[in-house]
Amino acid sequence: MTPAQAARVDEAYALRLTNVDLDSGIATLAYSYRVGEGSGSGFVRIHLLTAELSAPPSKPPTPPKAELVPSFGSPNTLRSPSGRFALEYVNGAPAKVILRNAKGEKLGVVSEAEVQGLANIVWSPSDDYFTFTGVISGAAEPKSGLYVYSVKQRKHQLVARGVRTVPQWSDDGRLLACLRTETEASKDLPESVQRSRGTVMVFDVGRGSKRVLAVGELAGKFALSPIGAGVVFTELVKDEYGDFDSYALRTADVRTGSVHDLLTNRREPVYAWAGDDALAVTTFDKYAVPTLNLVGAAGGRPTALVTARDFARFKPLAYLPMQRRVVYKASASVRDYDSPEELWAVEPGRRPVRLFPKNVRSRQ
Amino acid sequence: MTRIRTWPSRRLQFAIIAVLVLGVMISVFWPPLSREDRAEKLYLDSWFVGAMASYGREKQDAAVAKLEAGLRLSPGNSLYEQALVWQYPRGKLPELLAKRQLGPEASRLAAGLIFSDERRAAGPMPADSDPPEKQLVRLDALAKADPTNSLVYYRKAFALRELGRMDEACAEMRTASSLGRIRRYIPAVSDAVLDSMSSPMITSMSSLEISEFRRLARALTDTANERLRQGKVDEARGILEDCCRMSVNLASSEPPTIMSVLVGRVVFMIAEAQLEPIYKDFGMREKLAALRRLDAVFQRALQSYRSAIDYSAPVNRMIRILVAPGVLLLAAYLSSGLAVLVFLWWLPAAIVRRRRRETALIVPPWSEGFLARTFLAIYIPILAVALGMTFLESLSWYPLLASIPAQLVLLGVTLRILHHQYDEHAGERTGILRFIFKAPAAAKAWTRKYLIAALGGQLVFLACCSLLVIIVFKPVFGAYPWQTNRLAWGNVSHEQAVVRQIAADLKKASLGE
Repeated sequence: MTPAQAARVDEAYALRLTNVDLDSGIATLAYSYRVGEGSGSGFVRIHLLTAELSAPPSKPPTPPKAELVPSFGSPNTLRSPSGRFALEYVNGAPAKVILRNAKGEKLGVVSEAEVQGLANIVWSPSDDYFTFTGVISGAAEPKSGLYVYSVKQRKHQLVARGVRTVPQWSDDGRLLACLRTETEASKDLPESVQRSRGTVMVFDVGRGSKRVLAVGELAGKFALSPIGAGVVFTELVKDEYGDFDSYALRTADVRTGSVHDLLTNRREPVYAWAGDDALAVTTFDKYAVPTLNLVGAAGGRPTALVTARDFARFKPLAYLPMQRRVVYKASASVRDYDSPEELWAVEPGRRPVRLFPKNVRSRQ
Repeated sequence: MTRIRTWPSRRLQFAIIAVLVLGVMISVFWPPLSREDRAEKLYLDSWFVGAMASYGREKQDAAVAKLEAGLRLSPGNSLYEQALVWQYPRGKLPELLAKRQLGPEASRLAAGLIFSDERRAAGPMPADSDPPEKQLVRLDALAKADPTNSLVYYRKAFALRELGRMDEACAEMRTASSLGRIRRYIPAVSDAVLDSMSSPMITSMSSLEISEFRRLARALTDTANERLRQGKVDEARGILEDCCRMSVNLASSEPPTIMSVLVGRVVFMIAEAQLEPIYKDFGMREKLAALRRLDAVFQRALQSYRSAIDYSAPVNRMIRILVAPGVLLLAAYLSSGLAVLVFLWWLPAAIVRRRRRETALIVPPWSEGFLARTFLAIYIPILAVALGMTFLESLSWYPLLASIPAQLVLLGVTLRILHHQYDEHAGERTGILRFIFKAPAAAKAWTRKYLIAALGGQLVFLACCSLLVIIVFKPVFGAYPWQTNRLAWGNVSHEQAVVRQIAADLKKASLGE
């Protein structure tokens, strides 16, 4: 879409920021839209400070690190971030993942004969490793485990058992974080909780995938800080009725292992790192009114940035440290689907500003 | 040589065949004596004919004709009327309503089918293609024809959600909650039809309805969240409680299916996620306890369903029901086939020897003992399997209990016939073990006439087994002996019984007003 067309969009969905340049404040915005009877999707460059729209880059934006989804009958390829390597998934009996270099030469293979149910394949940002989950064969009760494959050594290593979700790499590719589910604490809770809650673990792949941190027993969503110094996660805690129905937002220092309780909320907070030592967090009061806050990673009193009754949720997307500007998307629906979203920005002590779309009737 | 009287005599053989043929004629073609039984037969037949019509193997008119004949015999029968409405061509339903005075349930069903564009076919239904405004007009007319069915008001809420008129959608939800009864536009059927249903698809929910209920629940939770943020706690609570009532109505909708329970559970979870925090934040302890009771009932319901319904049961059931007639037919066809194969193996040698004017083979192509051994080698394992199946849990004992004695009689008769033939060849009476395991010391030469008679006897044996299967197993096969598709899915009424219990538990644990 051209910037002029994008400026006429009056309802947008599924907003997503990519290629965020914190120095220049320019990001690529991908979104779906409806205009009159029509609909479609597009992306445009947006200046996160001035809301100016400009033409998207000539090359399409780099897709986010995605899972390699096996498909039947045709190979899937997942390139490393630098493009030096590629992983080719070949379906068959057994299925296998083939590591190739840029010339297409085969460097290594991981077969489902060794690791069943290969899934959740993620490259490290530095190209040195990739991870995948699989079912540990031969166990009395099959468990899903997390493996790390070293491109240099051409071999894989089991890192953690009981991991079935997509792991996260730190930006420098040194640390790997994952969630081990079905822990002792969750065994009496509903199955949905057992499968989605557990212990957050962090491994240092540079030191032979040594585990450097294990925190939480009913932890869920988690995120490594940009330089990997800390990890933030939500954990189910008991409320005043004795139910595991409240959420505690916690951070853990990877180096020291210390855990900090930031806040507790009945509705699950939505958060993102704002630099390495702070978080942008959305909390909800008892009327479900969202408030976007800045809170220090080591704890302390949250700084409220914006509260708005017109929206059901705020989701922080980016943080510009020079201006202390938090860019977030606001949605009128409690869930992430098919509801109009708006891109806003706010700085401490200032009124929030809508960045996109530009034609929406102004909310408070 | 002592003449051995042939047994069974030719007269007896013809008499047996005549009795079997008469039995088949009566069993298959003789109509029931009472009017009600004849009407019931026509009603049951119409379902099978209708199923064949949906595959293009029968004309749709045939099912309608049977139902009209059934209604002449049993006028005003609601089940027959509903079946007639269901089988009638959809485009001609208004004509049916104009020319026939139908009862309230059939009229309601006809009104619902006229409203809906859904085609009656196996698999997912297509979406209703009218815009929401037009649907609302038709739904108002449907509400007059079917005023006590909350499904009409939920469908109005679907259309209003699409138009973004959530306040009016909430009002329709309140009306639907007060009625509390979802009756989908599918005919009620008799237990006999359920017991013989070839597929549970007639009672399944359409994918359109499933997705509409979920979308409505999500939209309502967003509306409730908006009210809550505006400080209107009671309004928000009311909307979410109506959503919970919708989940209970859905789970206990008629006709009962497990899909409606599962969708009800999904709707309940969507509403509960927003409602529980409200109850806790505003100290509504009694309401919270009621919500937890409902949640517990839903969880128990799904666990009880998982343990009660075994999805491998249809295959096992089919095997158990088919094994009895299968044993008979398999024995007959296998022994016949083997005899023919051995005959073909012997025939070239016989022709060559004949041309060389050598004496005819003294040893017959197959001795009676050889036949008996072959027959026993095949039949005894099959009989053992059939006997073993009688000790397994079965939904219907009749086929197995009836067939075991029949199979033992068949075994005895076959061995007896062969034994007598052997004795005739040997020219003396022999013991059964000698007949089975020893060739006769002297045997009369086999002639062409005898061979033809032996093969003919095999065909008669085959025909007798087939006729016996039809007579004994005709109730299992249904109106037409060759319609084995009814065996495939087994007992749908069992699933309905489980779901009805779940629905009763949910009604007891309702949120109340």
